[in-house]
Amino acid sequence: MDIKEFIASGILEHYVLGLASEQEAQTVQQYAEEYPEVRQELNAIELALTQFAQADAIAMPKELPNKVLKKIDEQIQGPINNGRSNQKSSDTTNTKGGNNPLIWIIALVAIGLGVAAFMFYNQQQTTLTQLNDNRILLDSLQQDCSGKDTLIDQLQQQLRITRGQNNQRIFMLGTDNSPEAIAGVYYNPDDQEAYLDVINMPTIPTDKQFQLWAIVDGAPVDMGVFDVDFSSLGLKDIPFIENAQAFAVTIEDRGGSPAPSLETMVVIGNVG
Amino acid sequence: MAEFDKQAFEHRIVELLKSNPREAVSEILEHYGDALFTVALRIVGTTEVAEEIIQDAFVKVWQKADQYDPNKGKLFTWLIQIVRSTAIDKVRLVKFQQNRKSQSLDANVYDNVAFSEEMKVKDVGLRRVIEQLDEKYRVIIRLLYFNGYTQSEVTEELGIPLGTVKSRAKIGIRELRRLLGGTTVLTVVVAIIWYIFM
Repeated sequence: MDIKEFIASGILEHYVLGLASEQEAQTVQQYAEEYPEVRQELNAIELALTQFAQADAIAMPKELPNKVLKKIDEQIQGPINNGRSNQKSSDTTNTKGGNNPLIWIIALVAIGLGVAAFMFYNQQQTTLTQLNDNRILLDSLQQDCSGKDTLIDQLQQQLRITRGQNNQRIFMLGTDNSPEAIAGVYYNPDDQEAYLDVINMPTIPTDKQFQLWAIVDGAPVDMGVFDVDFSSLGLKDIPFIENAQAFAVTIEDRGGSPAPSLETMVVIGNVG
Repeated sequence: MAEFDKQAFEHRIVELLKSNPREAVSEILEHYGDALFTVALRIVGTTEVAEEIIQDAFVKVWQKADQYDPNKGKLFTWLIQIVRSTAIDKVRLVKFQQNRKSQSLDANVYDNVAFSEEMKVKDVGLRRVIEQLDEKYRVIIRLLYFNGYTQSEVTEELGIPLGTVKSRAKIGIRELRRLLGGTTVLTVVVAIIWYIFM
């Protein structure tokens, strides 16, 4: 018979309450010796009944324990010691060792705690990994965000420039050298500010650079060299120069040239 | 009383029963005296006779101290068997038999004068737990376990068939364990702490 079924049948409860037949009682005793879970179940039933009895109890007369002990003392002092002569020689086995249910409880609890600890450890490792991933993600988002902030600043700055009153926009259109090229200069005499806006420029060798020129009183004035980086939308801050009549861009050796080479001019545009 | 304390207590008593049975009796009385006295009182009906029963029963406990085998059952079960049989023998001897049933049964012994005047419940918390158990289960458990009724005595007394007695006994104990179970987890924790620090 399956032990679980045996326990579930109620035979153990009947046994403890004296409802089991003699044959049933023998089976229970035999099973209790063979199967620890049966013994354990019986213990639990008896324990519950013990607690029931204690909950049900009323106080005995206070002097009763002394009466009992007195009666025992009479027996001890009695002439024949009433059959207690052998009690000291009885065996002292089976009190220590593996039968103590406490050991089993502790072992089970220890295993339970071990499993729980292992699960917590795993959980913690997973959590740490996730935390780390999240940190990396957060860092990249922060970088992204500060990049966007810079971009917004730039765009706001450009918006401010392009919307500025008294702002002149000078288009520099492509020459025969580079008909597709186009660039602009924002020129604001009131605020004394000027910005270069590169819209399209030809590709040039790395040893070459663009150079911006302003034409003042018919003579070219060097306004600095620049590279074209289409990944940045920024307007380039350029020196402000009074009375500029025209702006032009030439291709020069890297570092710039003291005088513009007209044959390499890519764009030009007049002020006004 | 926590389950664990009981385990530790029983363990100590088992040792004492072998080494110093008089001391064992003294400790058992302190621990289980009220419960065992109440069992005796239920069967015999009067405090005086119940006191005699307890005295006789504990002399037997002292005499049979080396016969208790913890592998065969819990200490309290062994004790209650001795008290019960001593009480039942006494009742038979004095020919109390008819009285005993009607008195102790009706069925609440707590209505009995002998009980109410000395009524002093020790563990109120535990008592409340037990009171949650349906009366029909409590009666069966009391009759069988405390009063030592046979199954036919119970069927006769309560006027219910044997099948019902058996099923109520089974369900009653399971309900009892379920109700008491609430304290078990705490008990295990206390047991572990005790074990670690001892």
